[in-house]
Amino acid sequence: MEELLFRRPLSFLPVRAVTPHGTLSAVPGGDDDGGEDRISALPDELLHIVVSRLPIKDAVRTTVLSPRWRGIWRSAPLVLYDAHLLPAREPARAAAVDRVLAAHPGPIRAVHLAYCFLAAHERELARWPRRLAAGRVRDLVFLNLTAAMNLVPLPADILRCAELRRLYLGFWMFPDTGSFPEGAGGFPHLRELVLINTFMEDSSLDRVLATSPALKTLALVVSYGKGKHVRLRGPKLQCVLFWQSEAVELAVLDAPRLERLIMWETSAPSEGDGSLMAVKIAEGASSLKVLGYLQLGVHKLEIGNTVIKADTNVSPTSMVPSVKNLALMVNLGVLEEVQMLASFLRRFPNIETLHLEHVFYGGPTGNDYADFFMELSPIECVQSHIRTVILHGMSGDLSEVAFLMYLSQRANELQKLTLVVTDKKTATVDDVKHILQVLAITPWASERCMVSLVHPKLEHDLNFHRASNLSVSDPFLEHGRECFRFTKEGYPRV
Amino acid sequence: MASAGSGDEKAAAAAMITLISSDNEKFEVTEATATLSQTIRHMIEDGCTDGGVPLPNVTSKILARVIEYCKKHATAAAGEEGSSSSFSDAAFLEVDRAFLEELEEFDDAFLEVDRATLFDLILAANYLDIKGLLNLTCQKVADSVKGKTPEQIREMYNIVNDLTPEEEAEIRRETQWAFE
Repeated sequence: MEELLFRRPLSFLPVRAVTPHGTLSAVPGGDDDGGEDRISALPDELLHIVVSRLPIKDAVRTTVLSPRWRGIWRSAPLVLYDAHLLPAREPARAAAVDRVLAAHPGPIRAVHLAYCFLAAHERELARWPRRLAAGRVRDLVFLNLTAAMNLVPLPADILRCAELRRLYLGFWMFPDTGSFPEGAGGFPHLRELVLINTFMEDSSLDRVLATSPALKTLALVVSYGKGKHVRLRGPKLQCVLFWQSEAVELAVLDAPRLERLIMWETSAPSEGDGSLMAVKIAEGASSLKVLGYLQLGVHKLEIGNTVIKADTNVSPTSMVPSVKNLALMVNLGVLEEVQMLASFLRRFPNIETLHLEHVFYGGPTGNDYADFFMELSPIECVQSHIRTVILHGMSGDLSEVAFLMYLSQRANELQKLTLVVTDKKTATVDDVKHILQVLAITPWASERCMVSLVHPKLEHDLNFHRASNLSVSDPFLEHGRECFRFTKEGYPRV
Repeated sequence: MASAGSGDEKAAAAAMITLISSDNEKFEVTEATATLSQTIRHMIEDGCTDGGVPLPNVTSKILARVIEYCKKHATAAAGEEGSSSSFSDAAFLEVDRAFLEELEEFDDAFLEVDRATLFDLILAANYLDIKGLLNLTCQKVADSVKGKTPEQIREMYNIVNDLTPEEEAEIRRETQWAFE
């Protein structure tokens, strides 16, 4: 039951480096060592490697093997995943954590606490962060799972853990800058920071970013609050995820190495004044390659000092030429959004991959804008750079046909067009095939383009771990199996 | 090895190193294979590999296994460097995944050795400073211990328990939760 209730927040946690069962095949067999105790003869540092790869109970139990082993666990770097204490129930889990932290003098390599109801353990909650800081913890997951609505203050001593490389916090009220403990000098080595359902004042986030110069990955998950201005600054910041979160403004201010800005289900605060969430990209974001989902009708885009409107002129200061992969959500049946789509595309002259998700709010409008598209003056990325287009949510609507017609006639470099049929049952594969037959009648700007018709994935959900993995070059929505493909050159042999 | 122009690098990639086991057997390997060992890498950097690298702590039987591991993983490392952006992402990931799976299978099969060999490999990996091999072999030992009682572990590894009954009882009391 607990597992079920909290499955969602737990899905954001990193993969555990230690598993309760072996990952390699069975134990070497055979009594070939002549009865010799080879394992105890290993030097301490090698036994430390072995012990720190064990689940905590196995690791602690090695202390009883023999006098040689008695002190090994205590002198090995501590690795503690409270998941390995299951099926022990609370409060036994927390009691075990307490014993481990009291018994182990550090250093602490990794402590992942995600299954203890921390708020119910007031004394431990005061004690543990001090132990973690003293043990120079490098990798910390500190999740306060609770079914209660009220968030509990994060113990400020967590901010003293200056050796952290990775920090995941969940279900806390983050301290305001006035409550930062004295002498807490930030996280000079922190590379990965993930905040899940954690309320944080804007100034606290500013302070954390300013004092974490090594930070590469930042993720804010289910992050909301009043007057939320997320200001991204960091000399090493490469990847930012803003996930199921609300903000007045998400601004890339000083992040010269930022490669990836991913937004998933984001919007302006629901109790706000009704204005759109501002996505700002200041000048100097010269490494930004992957951007999305920008949602027309939900986000407003600002580049440099220019708010991008449908009729904003194109100028070098209002463009982001570094972006290669852009993801947009648009309702193709609404004129304002179609106009903004064209205006947005003009800001990103070098896009090679375009993800476009067709979203209907409250059903199709019945409008299509074929004339608008036909009269559009050339857009650089469409004309010269776009090689791959993935249209998600294809429902067979005429507004989609208008857009695809435009694309087929203007995108000179288009090599692959993937159409992901909507899961809303409004279109069948045959409907879309019929549309393709119509499209295939006229000449295409890129006759070698391969068109692929695919099913959607079962769950319409962006994968957090792919999105934050920089070695996955296209982190946006995936699709299901292919059901049909053709190239214009080969037509009508389909 | 002081200058590192691209010409030199190419020459270095093809350069062969001779490793000499404790029982005086000679093994010719490429520099790319040999330098998975940090110990050997440092010797090459210091220019003291002419006439072969003597490895007095490693027998020919174990050295042959270590070289087998290094050859496979050196190819893997070269593959990673060479293929960064030339593939389309999907194709790249396919290749990548297949290759990683193959490497995992190799590692798993590689470790199907008797216990004496396993410990010899651990000591060789430690001496030669081959991080991947050290982690892999220690992982194998850790996996063999998981979920076992102290009695089972003692029996498996011939550990003589010379704790007095009083001492053992005391430790068990302190760590009782770990036995529940």
